[in-house]
Amino acid sequence: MNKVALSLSHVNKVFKTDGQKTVSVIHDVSLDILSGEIFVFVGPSGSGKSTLLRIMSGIEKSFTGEVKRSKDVSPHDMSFVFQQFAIMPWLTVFENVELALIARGVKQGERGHTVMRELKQLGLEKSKDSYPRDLSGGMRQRVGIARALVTNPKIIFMDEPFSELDSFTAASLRKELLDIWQERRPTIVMVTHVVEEALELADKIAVLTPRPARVEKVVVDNLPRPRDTRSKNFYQLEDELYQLIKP
Amino acid sequence: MTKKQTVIYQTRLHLVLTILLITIPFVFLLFFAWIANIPTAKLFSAVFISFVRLLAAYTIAVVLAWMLAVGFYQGKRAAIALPIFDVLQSFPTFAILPLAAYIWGPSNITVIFFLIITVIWPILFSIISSLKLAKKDWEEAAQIMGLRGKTYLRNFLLPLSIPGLVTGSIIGLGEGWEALVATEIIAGNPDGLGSFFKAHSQNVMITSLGVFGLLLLIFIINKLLWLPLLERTHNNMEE
Repeated sequence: MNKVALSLSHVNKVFKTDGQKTVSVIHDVSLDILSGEIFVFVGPSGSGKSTLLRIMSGIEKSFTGEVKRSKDVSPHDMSFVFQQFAIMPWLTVFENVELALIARGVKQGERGHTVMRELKQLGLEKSKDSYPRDLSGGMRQRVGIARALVTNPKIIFMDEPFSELDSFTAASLRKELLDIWQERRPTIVMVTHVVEEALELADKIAVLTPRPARVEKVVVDNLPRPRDTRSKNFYQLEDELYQLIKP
Repeated sequence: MTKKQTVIYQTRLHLVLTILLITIPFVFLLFFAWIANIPTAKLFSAVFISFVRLLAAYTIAVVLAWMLAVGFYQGKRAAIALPIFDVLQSFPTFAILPLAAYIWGPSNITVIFFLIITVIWPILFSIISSLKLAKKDWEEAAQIMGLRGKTYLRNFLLPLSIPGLVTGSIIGLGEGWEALVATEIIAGNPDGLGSFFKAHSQNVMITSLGVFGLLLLIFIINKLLWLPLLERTHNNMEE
């Protein structure tokens, strides 16, 4: 059995509004995410999914409870894919991916071929000298994913990574992501509000309640891969999830 | 798709016009010296000395402004520092010019100090504004990538500052040219453009031609340097 990569214990988060009132956004979330699995959080918009992801990744530090990483996962072993790509507009595609290696202190001589390997993997090698403004949304998210992969992370956090893309691009990028995952087996922690996306990708799906986010249920998705999104079992699981999700 | 390449001159005409623009101030100075019957070397040295003073002050102001902007653009430090900067930028600097001249005399230090406290504010506030416009996502991406210390400054805050730095420089240097001549006149520097205008204050033609020449120089520097930089740096921030 896989060991635990990330463990959440009684995680709570409150926001203070302008009038100094407190609003609870995450309420008592406890769960374990196993090493090498794809763990997807689904829930309605505004439920606090992204906040929970930021807490798990260490971006958001103000919360109560505990987030424990496995001992062999250092902060350098984690990366993040953003909903709106978050690639730096003043850097080329190559430089954006390289930045993750610069941040890790990788020497200049070693960076070039590592970056090119990821660019090739994501079909970006011809656009390596282009700036983000010249790329389509799909290509930009490829850059975001290449940047997240280039450091060979053990955990990749993904915040609705396909929601800004058209459905065809999103479908093809999901397939590529699955191929990469099967090849390298990082732990992927993703949030989405698209049930079908969760079912296509996940090993486990945590259904969150509307604000404040609590875990309604963790559904195990052990449909065989590659998944047939038109199969009876897929639809059954989809129905189960839709019944659990409260708008 | 736009490839990353340096194309400075799109056409031969562009190159010819650029060279022409660079030579115009020199030709004008020669013409000016001849028509006003002033030794050419004296006129060139006045322009050169003043230009170097402004350049020195500008360089120091840019470094200081960037350090202050990076140190105080956000968080609790910003809440304390920004109102102070705002008051300081409104400070009537000319009021302390006689005092500065009294302490340092009609020296380079007086002029450069005075120019720094004139030029720095638009640069500082423009850089702060650039840094504040950074998307939260970019900050978070930099954070999770582990950019910190010098790497964070060089690869994140510096490029983010550039649009503000360019905009602030255009405004700051505009004010700087104005303050330069005034400071040299009030402080009584024996050289530079201030001394030149003071010496010919009775001559309408020389004063007018001198002002025209100065405007021409500023226009050409803006046209050749600042405006292309402004366009390029702002394009670089386009998503």
